[in-house]
Amino acid sequence: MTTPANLESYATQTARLLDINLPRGGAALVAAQLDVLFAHARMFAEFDLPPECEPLTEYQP
Amino acid sequence: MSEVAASELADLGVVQTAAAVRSGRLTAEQVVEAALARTERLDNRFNCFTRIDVEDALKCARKTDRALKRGDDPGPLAGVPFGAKDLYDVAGETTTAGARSRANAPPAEEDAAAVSSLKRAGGALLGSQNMDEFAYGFTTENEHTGNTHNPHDVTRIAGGSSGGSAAAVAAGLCAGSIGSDTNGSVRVPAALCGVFGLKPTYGRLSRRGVFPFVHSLDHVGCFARGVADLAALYDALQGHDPRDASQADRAVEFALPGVNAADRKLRVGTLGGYFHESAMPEALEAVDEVADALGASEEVELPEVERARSAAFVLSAAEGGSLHLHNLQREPQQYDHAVRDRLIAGAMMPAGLVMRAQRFRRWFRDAVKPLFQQYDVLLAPATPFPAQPIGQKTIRMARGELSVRANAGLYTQPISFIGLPVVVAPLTAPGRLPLGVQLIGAPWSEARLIRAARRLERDGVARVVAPTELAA
Repeated sequence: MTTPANLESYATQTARLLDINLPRGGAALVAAQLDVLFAHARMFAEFDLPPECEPLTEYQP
Repeated sequence: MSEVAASELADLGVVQTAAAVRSGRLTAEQVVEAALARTERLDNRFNCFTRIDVEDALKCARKTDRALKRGDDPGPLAGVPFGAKDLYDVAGETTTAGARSRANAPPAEEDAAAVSSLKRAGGALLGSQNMDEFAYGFTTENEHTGNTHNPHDVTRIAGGSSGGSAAAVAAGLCAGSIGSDTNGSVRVPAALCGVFGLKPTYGRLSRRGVFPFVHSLDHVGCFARGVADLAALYDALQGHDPRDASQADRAVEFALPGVNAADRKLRVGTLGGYFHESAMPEALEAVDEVADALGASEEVELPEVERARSAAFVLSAAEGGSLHLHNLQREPQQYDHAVRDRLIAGAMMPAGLVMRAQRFRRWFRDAVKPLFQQYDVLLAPATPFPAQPIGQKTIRMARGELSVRANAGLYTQPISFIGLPVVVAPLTAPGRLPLGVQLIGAPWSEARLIRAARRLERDGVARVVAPTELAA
């Protein structure tokens, strides 16, 4: 489960890996956004997609 | 020309203006001068434009007038003053996308395809219009370019991210505008400013020369004060562009010629469930009014729609973050802080989840498509609430205290996620803030949606009223 502390740690570590310099206090701000994003991600990640359902990256309606 | 006459000229819609110019009753130069004068007089109240190109606008107008004098066809938009969101390339100008970090970017070498199409049809570009930074927001509150104010109440947001484009049309500064819609950025400001808006099917219109936000979801769209005007703009924007790889291989399907035709039996449903939760009563009343007028009797639920909205939310952040990664590494301080933190978080989303969102998109598209065997039009609120005060960060909704900037598109995001075409019909009344209703159709059914919107306009249900701020 995500918590403010481990999301802030994730933000700090990933920023380092991505070569992004977070300003002082920046990790907490990014962690707050990550919290929202992961909450959304859980919404569709828990949905049981059939394995043959391919990514729709070359999209045509 | 007196100031009063100038205002009246600038109030003309797209079709009326073109007809007047083509018949010789007005010159394109008169019309464009009037629009420029009105914009100069009024835009300090609204902040719709980030740049006015007086010389270029007049040059376009004079070209139209010369064509008419020679007996040539000046095009279906002869003399029509229009604006373009500041993410459309304009030759010789820097495309800022509402961002300070792009202030010194090199100027565009040519017009974006959409700008070029409207000019070729005889339109005159007045200038570039305000937006949320990099189109990431629904409010057009911008730290760098200032906020756009809603012409119906200048203390309130215009909606976004194409807020300058919608507000300029609502205030009569131009007859039409082009914006872009990734998650609702045409539909939200159209609703909040009380004008008609069109987001066509994904891939219908060329995106060449449009600064991107989310490649998987970006659409070109337009605004007007009347349905025929919207159709005229849309028709001029259509056409195959061999230089846009994202454009679908579709024949042009004009909407204006049949705009008044009656569809014998329009099958209309109202989206329920998710689209009722969180909406303020007046937003639902607007949908009911449209449903009554179009004879919608059944309520329809989109399968797993909340997950679709979530997937669109994550995909937007991740693709946007990826697009901006290089600049976020070099100069994060150049970004509006609210946008920066969202983009950085997006760039940090694990690839597995992003791919999962794209896989879910296929599932959702395939699950929704069969509904259009039963329905021609599905109705939903465009926004859960009317325009909120500028600066208000959150709003109390059924799910708790939520960000206005991120949630005004609650009802638009799942629809653009699968690229369906939508016309927003504005419901306005004196003394009431505007609201909009989404008319959603099967892929490529723009012309039918436009006819349905025209029926609402003819019956007096969808209407554009002059903003009260203009009377002040």
